[in-house]
Amino acid sequence: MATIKIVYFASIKEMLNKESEVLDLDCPITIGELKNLLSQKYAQPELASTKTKAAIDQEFARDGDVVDPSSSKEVAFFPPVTGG
Amino acid sequence: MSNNLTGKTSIIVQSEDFSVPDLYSHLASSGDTGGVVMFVGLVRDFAHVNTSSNGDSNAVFELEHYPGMTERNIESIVEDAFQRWPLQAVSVVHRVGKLSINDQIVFVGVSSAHRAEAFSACDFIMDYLKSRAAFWKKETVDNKGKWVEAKDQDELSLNRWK
Repeated sequence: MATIKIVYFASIKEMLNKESEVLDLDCPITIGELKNLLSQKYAQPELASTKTKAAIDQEFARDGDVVDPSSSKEVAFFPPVTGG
Repeated sequence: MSNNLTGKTSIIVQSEDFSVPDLYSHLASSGDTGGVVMFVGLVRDFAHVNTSSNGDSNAVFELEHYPGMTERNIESIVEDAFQRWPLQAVSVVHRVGKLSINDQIVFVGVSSAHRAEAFSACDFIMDYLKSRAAFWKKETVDNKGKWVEAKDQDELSLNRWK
């Protein structure tokens, strides 16, 4: 069992009314699975949508990428970026 | 947040405004620079309220970022530009926080020995800043906030560089 920090940005942060939380994970999980888990926890189906983007330790990640609680420290969820 | 203008690359994410003349002098100061291309992005009048008589509007523009990741995203875009073109120096400034209509929001400046490379690199960096850097824009008019949605066109324009 290890803990990882989950951080939320922009519309996702407002939807959950939460900037961050700490999650206990006992085995590796994909970003897609983590999105499903959190969307059920908060009853927010939108969170599981393909429009929700993610980063693992500040690197952009895809739904199939694996969060390994023994090495990953921080996972972020956010909408598609709109800089520039 | 550091205002470090030494070296070939300068990347700054800050809430404060920036001085284009200062950024330009830095880019132009390298001995073998043949030209400098700069792009300055401004906050568009998204609320259509900033007419000449109405400067005091209810429009608020906000930019959120992911401290740490955003800077790394920009570094990687700039490194990519250095790989593609022979550049002398690159400077990127992106503002975050609350801004007003017509405020400067982003600066990309590139110096190179030749014009074509500088134009291409500046265009390339701006294209990637839109789709590969962790920033989110929010427009609020009369207390109604709306997160700006990413445009398919921004993603498609990256195909120009493949």
